[in-house]
Amino acid sequence: MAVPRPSAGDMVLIAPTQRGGKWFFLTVCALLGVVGFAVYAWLTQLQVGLGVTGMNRPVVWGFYITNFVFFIGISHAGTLISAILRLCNAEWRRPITRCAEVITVVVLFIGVGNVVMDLGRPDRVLFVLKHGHLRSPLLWDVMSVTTYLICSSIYLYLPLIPDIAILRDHGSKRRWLYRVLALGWQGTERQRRVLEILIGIMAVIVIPVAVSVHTVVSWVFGMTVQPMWHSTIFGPYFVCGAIFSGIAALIITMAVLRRAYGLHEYLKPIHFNYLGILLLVMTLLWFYFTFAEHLTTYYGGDPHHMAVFWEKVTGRYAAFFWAMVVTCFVIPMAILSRAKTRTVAGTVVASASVTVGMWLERFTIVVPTLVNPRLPYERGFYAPTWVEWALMAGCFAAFALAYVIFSKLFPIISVWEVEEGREAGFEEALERIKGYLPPAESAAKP
Amino acid sequence: MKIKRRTFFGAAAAAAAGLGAAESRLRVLGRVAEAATPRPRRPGPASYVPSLCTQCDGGCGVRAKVIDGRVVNIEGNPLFPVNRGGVCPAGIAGIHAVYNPDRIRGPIRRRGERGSGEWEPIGWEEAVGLIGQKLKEVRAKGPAGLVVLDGSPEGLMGLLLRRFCTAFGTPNYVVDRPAEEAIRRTAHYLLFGMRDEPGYDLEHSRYILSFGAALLEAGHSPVRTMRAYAALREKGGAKLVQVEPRLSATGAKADLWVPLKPGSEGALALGIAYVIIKEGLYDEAFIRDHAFGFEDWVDEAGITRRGFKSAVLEEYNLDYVSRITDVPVSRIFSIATSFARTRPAIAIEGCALTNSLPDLLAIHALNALVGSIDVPGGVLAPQRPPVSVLEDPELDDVARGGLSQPRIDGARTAELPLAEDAPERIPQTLRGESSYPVEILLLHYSNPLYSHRNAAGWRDAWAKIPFVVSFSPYLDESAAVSDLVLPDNVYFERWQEFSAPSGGRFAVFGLSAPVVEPLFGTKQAGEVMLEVARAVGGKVSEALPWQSYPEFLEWASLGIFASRRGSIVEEGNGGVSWTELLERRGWWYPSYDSPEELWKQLQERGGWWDPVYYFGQWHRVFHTPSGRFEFDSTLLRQEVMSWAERRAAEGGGTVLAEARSILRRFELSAVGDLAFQPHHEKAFVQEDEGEYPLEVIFYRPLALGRGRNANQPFLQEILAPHVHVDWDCWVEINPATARELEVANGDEVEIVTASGRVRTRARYFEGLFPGVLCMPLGLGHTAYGRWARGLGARALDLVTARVDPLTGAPGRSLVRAKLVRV
Amino acid sequence: MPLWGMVIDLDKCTGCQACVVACKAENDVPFSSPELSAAGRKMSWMEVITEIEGEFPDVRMRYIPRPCMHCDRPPCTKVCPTKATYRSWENGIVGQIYPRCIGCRYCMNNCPYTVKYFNFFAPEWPDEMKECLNPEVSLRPKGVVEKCTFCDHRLIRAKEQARAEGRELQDGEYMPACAAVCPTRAIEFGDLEDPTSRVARARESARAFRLMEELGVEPKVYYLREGEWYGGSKA
Ligand SMILES: Nc1nc2c(c(=O)[nH]1)N[C@H]1C(S)=C(S)[C@@H](COP(=O)(O)OP(=O)(O)OC[C@H]3O[C@@H](n4cnc5c(=O)[nH]c(N)nc54)[C@H](O)[C@@H]3O)O[C@H]1N2
Ligand SMILES: Nc1nc2c(c(=O)[nH]1)N[C@H]1C(S)=C(S)[C@@H](COP(=O)(O)OP(=O)(O)OC[C@H]3O[C@@H](n4cnc5c(=O)[nH]c(N)nc54)[C@H](O)[C@@H]3O)O[C@H]1N2
Ligand code: SF4
Ligand code: SF4
Ligand code: SF4
Ligand code: SF4
Ligand code: SF4
Ligand SMILES: [Mo]
Repeated sequence: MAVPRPSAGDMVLIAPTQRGGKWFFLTVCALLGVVGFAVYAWLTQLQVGLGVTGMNRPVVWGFYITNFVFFIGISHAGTLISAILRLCNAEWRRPITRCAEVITVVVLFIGVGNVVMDLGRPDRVLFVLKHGHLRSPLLWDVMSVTTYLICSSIYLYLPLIPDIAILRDHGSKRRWLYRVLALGWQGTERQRRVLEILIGIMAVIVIPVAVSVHTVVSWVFGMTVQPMWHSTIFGPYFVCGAIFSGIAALIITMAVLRRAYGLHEYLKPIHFNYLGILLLVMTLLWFYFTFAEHLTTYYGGDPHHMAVFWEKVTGRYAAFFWAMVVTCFVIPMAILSRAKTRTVAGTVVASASVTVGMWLERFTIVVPTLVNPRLPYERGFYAPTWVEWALMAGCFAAFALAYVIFSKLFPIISVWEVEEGREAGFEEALERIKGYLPPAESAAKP
Repeated sequence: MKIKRRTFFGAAAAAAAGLGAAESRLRVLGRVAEAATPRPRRPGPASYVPSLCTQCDGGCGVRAKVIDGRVVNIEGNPLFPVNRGGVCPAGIAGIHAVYNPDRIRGPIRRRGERGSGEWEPIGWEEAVGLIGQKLKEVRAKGPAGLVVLDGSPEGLMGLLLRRFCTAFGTPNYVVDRPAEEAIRRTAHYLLFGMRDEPGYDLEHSRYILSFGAALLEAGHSPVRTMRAYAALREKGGAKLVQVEPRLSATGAKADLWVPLKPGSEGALALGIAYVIIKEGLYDEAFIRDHAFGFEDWVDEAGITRRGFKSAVLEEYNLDYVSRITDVPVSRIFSIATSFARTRPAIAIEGCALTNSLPDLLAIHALNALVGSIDVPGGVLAPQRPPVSVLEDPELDDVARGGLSQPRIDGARTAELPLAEDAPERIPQTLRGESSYPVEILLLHYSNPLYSHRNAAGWRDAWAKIPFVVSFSPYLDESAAVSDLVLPDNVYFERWQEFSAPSGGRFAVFGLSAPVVEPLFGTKQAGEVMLEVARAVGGKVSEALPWQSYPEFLEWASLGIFASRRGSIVEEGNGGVSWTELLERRGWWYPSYDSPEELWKQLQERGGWWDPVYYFGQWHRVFHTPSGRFEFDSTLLRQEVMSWAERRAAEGGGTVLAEARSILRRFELSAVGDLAFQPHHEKAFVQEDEGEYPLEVIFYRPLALGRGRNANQPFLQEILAPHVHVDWDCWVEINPATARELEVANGDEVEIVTASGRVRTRARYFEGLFPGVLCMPLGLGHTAYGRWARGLGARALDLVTARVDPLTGAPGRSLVRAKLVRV
Repeated sequence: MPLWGMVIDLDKCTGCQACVVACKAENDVPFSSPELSAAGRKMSWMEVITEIEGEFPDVRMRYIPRPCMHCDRPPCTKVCPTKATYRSWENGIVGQIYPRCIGCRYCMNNCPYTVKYFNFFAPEWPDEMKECLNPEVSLRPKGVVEKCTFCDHRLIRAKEQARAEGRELQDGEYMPACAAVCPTRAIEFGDLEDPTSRVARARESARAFRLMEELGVEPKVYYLREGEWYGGSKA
């Protein structure tokens, strides 16, 4: 017995898993090179100590924690978006859920990796379990990120099973692997029903977990007594920022895949348009939060907070702050608010801008507060060293590498869901739309 | 190109292996780091061993915290009256002086060129033999060829060296340390008639008016003055007023900081005197009974002399003073009235003043005006412990011949008749034609190539000295270019005593035995000198009959036993309860009844003291010809007039004309009686005001003192929190002045004077008189170990190498400079 | 149950920094170098903060010695994920367990007084200087956080001594290094719970205050404001 062979057209989706290619090899080598250099930087750091970074006293958190927050933010691309779209039965979701979910899983590892890199004693990382202290927001982080990682991995894996079965039955490579991973999927009615239920459950679970993750990340800052960290708005603000940057990352990834694997038929301008609208909504939301946060601080005028405020707005980190405003708000607004520019290229440009901007946002949250601690005598400045740059580059490269490898092992667009959409989706959608509307006769009644 | 999948997975596997390796490396590193955390050695018990701090000359008693035979920390000796348990940062950093990796391990002899850094270690016997041999040769040629520079002359080690020199036959035992203070000492000499530092009963004073005395940073004995300050605060109502162009730590803690133009302190003092006299606030009884030269008088020759009172009233009205000093009239008035109305009050001066001798006399005149001399809370006669006194050594003919030679530094010769010592003048003598050659230079606690204004002059003169020996435990600038280094034991390794004047009411004798064995093959300088004396033999050896240095100290302590005064240091309440106790016990309360017992207890407790000061013994206070405080200095008059008479007799002009020219030679511009009385002289300035618009002053950060402590990392680390600088030099500048010069905080700048230039960073400091720069002393070493060498700039490069012709003090001048951004 | 605390009299403190150096020597805090200091890696469990206010000639300069405040409701211990920093229920001292610290530096960020230090490198000493390290405290490896401990090893020693002599610990017997050396006796130390102790009496002074009291972290280091004299313009 074998699962049915996908249509000839859809074979393009599993094609990348069946062959290598020069570009693939070169990409992997280049990425490996960057990752290798980062590993070297990390070894240096391990050997010499965190002194090789630009961190100091009082600025004891820098790039690594910025990256941690940033990557965890990106992770919301995935699961959260795909889960919401799935639960809403948004039909246009079908070709993009997978690539979103993969982003999540990969990026979570990198986020966690950044925390480990940041530790003075990474060899003792498991002490958080052995000696765990439940009152510490950092421990909340450990728990919620772990939960999120598990949930989103399952959530990635479940919809993958039917596709793995396709590869097992119709591919020529690594069948042994797919055989194990397919868990005996035969596409029977029962199996389908179970799978659908499981996916549904996971989609429901994953949303609160994702929200909790970024809330807890924000609480790492919010729970402290430090000026401009100690803020009640941080939970939703961070979640908003996370989804914001997540969508941006998703758009960029889709554009790259579309180009690299020739998926123009699957990832269409309409997808970019829809995501662009979502991004626009988030732009506005993000601006609202940012404005509210800073206005409240300014109006309150607490001198400790104002020290940080001015540092961001006119001080040594003003360039970063205003660059953030431009990249997170001005540019995406300009591009996304007009349908004419909400093209593939347009949304990609806006997304790139947002990605940079959200990184700057994380940076201007983490660093200026540390530069201006409460006791107004300790003052510092932070500038990263080559080690931090190398590790940051390594993180991006590792993300790309993992993504490339995943796309070489598994179809990056869900084959069976696309098929299902083609077969059943149309009718289903019609039914649903009818369901929204009042019956013709009753509508006619006075 | 077709790439095999295998290749790809190979690469991936390699990367994975790399990560795996990283991980295992991580684990290993973790373990290594774990191992590097020593499991708490089960430390032995801590014992606290009394000793004496020599990080500066303050004479604090310390106790070394010793665990397992090592000194791990230093605290104050709570029994010791100077500091009663307190210590300053330098006192604690002493562990870095002892366990310093740059210490010299044993005697070394130069091998290559001077300064080539090539040394050969030699044994002590050989070293002593070598120097004994050299000394014998010098003695044969002319013993004055031996020059000893001693930077630690106050105690018994100084006595030993001095005695050695006398028996050897050289007049050139030159005290290096108080050269800086020479001008103060000369002032005290003229006013009190003795060559010693008076005491200041700061602890019991109610009003301290300090003219640039860095009481809380570089006081005579910093911890004692800090304790006195605390006592002042505890009393409540007592006041400290700090007069100086810069807000120092003392100024910051003062009740009033009076910024003024550098070099005008004497004028301010005279303005204050003006108010006190005008308002009739002076102590008439004191002036009547114990002062000379206040009112106008008629001298033996029948000439009417103008007294200090008339002089002040005629010359120093407040408008004039206010103009010179830049201090408002109302402020001068209010300081003067409070000073005169609060009893007891003290006026005290620092060493860094740019003032001339008559200006310092003016500051002291304030104490006399308010009768604050020899009263509780006033100026006191110096208190020294009653150590054994030796008869002068017996001299042989060679010695007698040598001692009749003029001194190499010109002190007490016609060149510098009032000077005690003038070490900074030696290079000048060497450059010119000295009447005899210098054969050996012996350096004890002395580093002229760094510490002297005239370091450059020394460098030039160095080649003229065939043999230089240093006792320094570290290779300082001078030792680095010497011929033989005989490293001294550092203080925890040696027998030593403290017997200088306490600076306060009590007399103290501190004693300490070695706390730890010498870490290296070093030997105490005193021990070496005794051996050298024996090697030289004859009368020299007889003059120093002790077999060992502790034996010498024990002999000195006999005098204390014999004095039947005081007691071993005990916990007490600053002398108050002690006075009562002693009164009850009949003024002597010994816990010892034999010299041996005293010697033992001295070691166990750290010292002896006598808290009782006998007020009203005027013969101990004033040694002047009049037996009084001299507003008009008979000593100076005599010096000038007798010289003038000699010159007139030798065929010069009239006595009066000669006297005038002598006064000019002494750089005194005042004429008539005023020349011999406290008055204001414009400070000597080398630089032209147009070209050099700024003034530079200097100060000694507590951490560094004068440079001896620069090799201790704990101290380099705490240099100047007020300007956020450590491990570096800086120049303080008023921000307004800096903005005019377009210099930003932290800019690298060059300061240029007629004498030299230094480069450092500008630091904004609001507490500085506009137009004035301030630089720290003690940095800019070119040798002296890894932590001192090459760190910051040597501020003294800016100062002229001139020697004050009246006192022999170096560089008494107002330094003008320009500042350029680089 | 004793509650150890400190009272620092700003009236008496002359900013000499003896406390700073004493602390380093007593606790084996490594010294820095020009490079380390410039990079912000200098360690100093005790610091003397110098505050300058005003413009010439009306300038005020104040010294504020700053150890760890040993907050009774310490924000630093709350956030530690491994309980490597904790408040001792026995005596209120906020301590560090170096072998447990993972070096996340979260506690540093949540200390409102910025009193904690991180070992950016493994501490180093020339061999000669290793001799004068105090064996009563454990050395910190690279990657962990450290701070003022109120010299709690001295508490252990003092307790041992008292026990050996069969008596209670007396006021003044347990003295941290900084308090022991202070030339002006500006630092008092003792049991805040014992109403007869010198610290308990000193903190009753009208001059007493604590840094950033409004945060409610209950620091156990009190300061005595400079007295009436301060800033007085009458000489
Ligand atoms: N800790 C420590 N203490 C020491 C020593 C040491 O090595 N270490 N050495 C001892 C020795 S040898 C000496 S000579 C003395 C020196 O003792 P001081 O002369 O008291 O010390 P300085 O620091 O040289 O200068 C004192 C003050 O003078 C101010 N000042 C500078 N120029 C002027 C000026 O033109 N006018 C006025 N009014 N003030 C000015 C400075 O701001 C500084 O505060 O210190 C002794 N005390
Ligand atoms: N840069 C700078 N120069 C100054 C001053 C200043 O503050 N800064 N102050 C000036 C004043 S006021 C004075 S009094 C002079 C003082 O000038 P110096 O007498 O030169 O004083 P120090 O630098 O204290 O010590 C001199 C040398 O003593 C040696 N030494 C240290 N410990 C020991 C020891 O245990 N035994 C022996 N035998 N030697 C030891 C060191 O090698 C040191 O170089 O300097 C003057 N010059
Ligand atoms: S003042 Fe400081 S350096 Fe000087 S003797 Fe006292 S403790 Fe030592
Ligand atoms: S030791 Fe005492 S006087 Fe010196 S800075 Fe510290 S607290 Fe102030
Ligand atoms: S001062 Fe800082 S480190 Fe000390 S207890 Fe308070 S929060 Fe913790
Ligand atoms: S750095 Fe160490 S002590 Fe501080 S929070 Fe992290 S684990 Fe706890
Ligand atoms: S109490 Fe001890 S650890 Fe804390 S600052 Fe004072 S000396 Fe350092
Ligand atoms: Mo001096």
